[in-house]
Amino acid sequence: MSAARQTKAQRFEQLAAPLERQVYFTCLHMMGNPQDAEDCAQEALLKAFRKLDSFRGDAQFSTWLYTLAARTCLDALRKRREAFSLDALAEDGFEIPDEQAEIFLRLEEKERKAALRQAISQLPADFRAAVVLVDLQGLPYREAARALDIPEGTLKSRVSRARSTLYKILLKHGELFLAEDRLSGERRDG
Amino acid sequence: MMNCKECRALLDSRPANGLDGKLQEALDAHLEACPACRMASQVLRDARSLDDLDEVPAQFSSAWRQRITQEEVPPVKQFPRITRWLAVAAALFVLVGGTWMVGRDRVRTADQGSVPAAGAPQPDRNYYGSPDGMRDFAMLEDAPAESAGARTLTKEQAAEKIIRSARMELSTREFDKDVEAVTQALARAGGRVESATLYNSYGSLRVAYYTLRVPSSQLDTVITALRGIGRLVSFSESSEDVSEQYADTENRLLTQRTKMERLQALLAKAESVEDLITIESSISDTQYEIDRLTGQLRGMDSKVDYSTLSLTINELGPIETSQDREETLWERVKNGVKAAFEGFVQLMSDLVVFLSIALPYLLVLVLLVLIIRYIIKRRKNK
Repeated sequence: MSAARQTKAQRFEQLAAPLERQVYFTCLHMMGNPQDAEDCAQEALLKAFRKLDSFRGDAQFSTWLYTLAARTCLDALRKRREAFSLDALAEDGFEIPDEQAEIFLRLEEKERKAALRQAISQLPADFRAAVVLVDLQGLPYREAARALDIPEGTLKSRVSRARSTLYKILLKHGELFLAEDRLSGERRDG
Repeated sequence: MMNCKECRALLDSRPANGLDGKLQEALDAHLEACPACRMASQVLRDARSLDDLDEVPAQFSSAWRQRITQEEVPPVKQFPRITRWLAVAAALFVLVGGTWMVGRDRVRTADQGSVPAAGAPQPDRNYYGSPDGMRDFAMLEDAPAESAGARTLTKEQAAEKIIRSARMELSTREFDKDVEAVTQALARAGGRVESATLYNSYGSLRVAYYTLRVPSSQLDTVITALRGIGRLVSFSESSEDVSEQYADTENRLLTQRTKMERLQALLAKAESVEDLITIESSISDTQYEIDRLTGQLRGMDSKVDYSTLSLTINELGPIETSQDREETLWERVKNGVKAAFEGFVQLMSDLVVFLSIALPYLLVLVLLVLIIRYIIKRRKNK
């Protein structure tokens, strides 16, 4: 079928299908449970479909989808009265005690990831959105800032403080801490 | 030696092609020495691959595709357009129909008197003109010849008994003058007025109902004369051949008369009182029968000799139209505008009347539509 004959739904599916995974997991980490994640992801995709004609292509389609997904989740969380003020993280940076950090490295990957998910879900919504877009979905700061409609500086600060909080939370899982046996110097996938 | 700040900046920068050898070495050295940065690096790497082993629920995958397909299905976009037009058409139909019916009811109330009475003889010839319609009644043109023939027969063959009756409706702007003209035409023909009713109708215009008896031979002359008065709205004529019935009645009368003669002869010869009484009784019965039959014949004769003409004269409003006389262009324009305006006012008042009649129904309808729309919307949102 030629592009001209494609229906709007078909065109949209072609664009959105490769991104459904990212949209879903963004929503999952934002909402904290699969049921709400599905609802929000579906709503975000539906919004995108309805607004497809107004998408001008001055941003990447993926960024635009993330924008809709993040905002849909934030709205839902606000409705859930889960969104709280930025003061929740008023405390600026902190140092992580060395010995505890070492123990963290012994966590088996699966356990580590479970702990990380848990930790992310404990972040305030605005910080969670920043960390999910930047660290989980790998969006550049500029695009993530655009998606969340905040200045890039604000986003960077949020990401930074969110990370600090994550480290802090993860260190509380004392029973998961094992002996040092790995380094983080492996080649990172860009 | 790399410090923590430099290390974190490097971790955050995520270079696409990896780090160059020296930098990587320095980073590794720092991470080995610094547990905090090691943890940060691990967390970031875990975060990037957090969902790698998880699958998107199949239900979600199919659900959003289904939703967008539903969104696009014609019923959502195109159907409403058709229904919108259908709804507009239906509303117009109801409005126009309702207004028309109100208007029709009004006209009927006004013209109630001029509706032909039920049970009227089945007309042989009919003419129904619109009030402002044709003046000429083509069928009347050959009427004189036809009825002249009937008249001749009536004269030549006494046995041919035909009852003719006619019904006419006229409208006029000069009511008094035309009523007078009718009376004169009737007098010239030797007819008489059997009944006359006059009353004021809608808009204080008058209507006159006449039942006229016209000598059969003069009926066509009178009809022709009336055609020249006012405007003919409707005309019907019927004729009933009562020859056979008349002949039967005549025969029965003859029998009864013969019987009477014989009874009288018997009476003259009667000897006993008993016979006298019996014969007298029979004579009395026979006389009654003779009177009854004679009356029937006289009635039929009267109907045959004098036709019945039912005449309705409606008075029209004082508006002059081009049909009454030649008008100037200005008058025609003026009358046209006036008529259009009056028509418009009438239409609007009919519309208002209809709306006030239909208001309760419309309210219920609107309420129903709102409820249904609300339900549909809620279901859609679910």
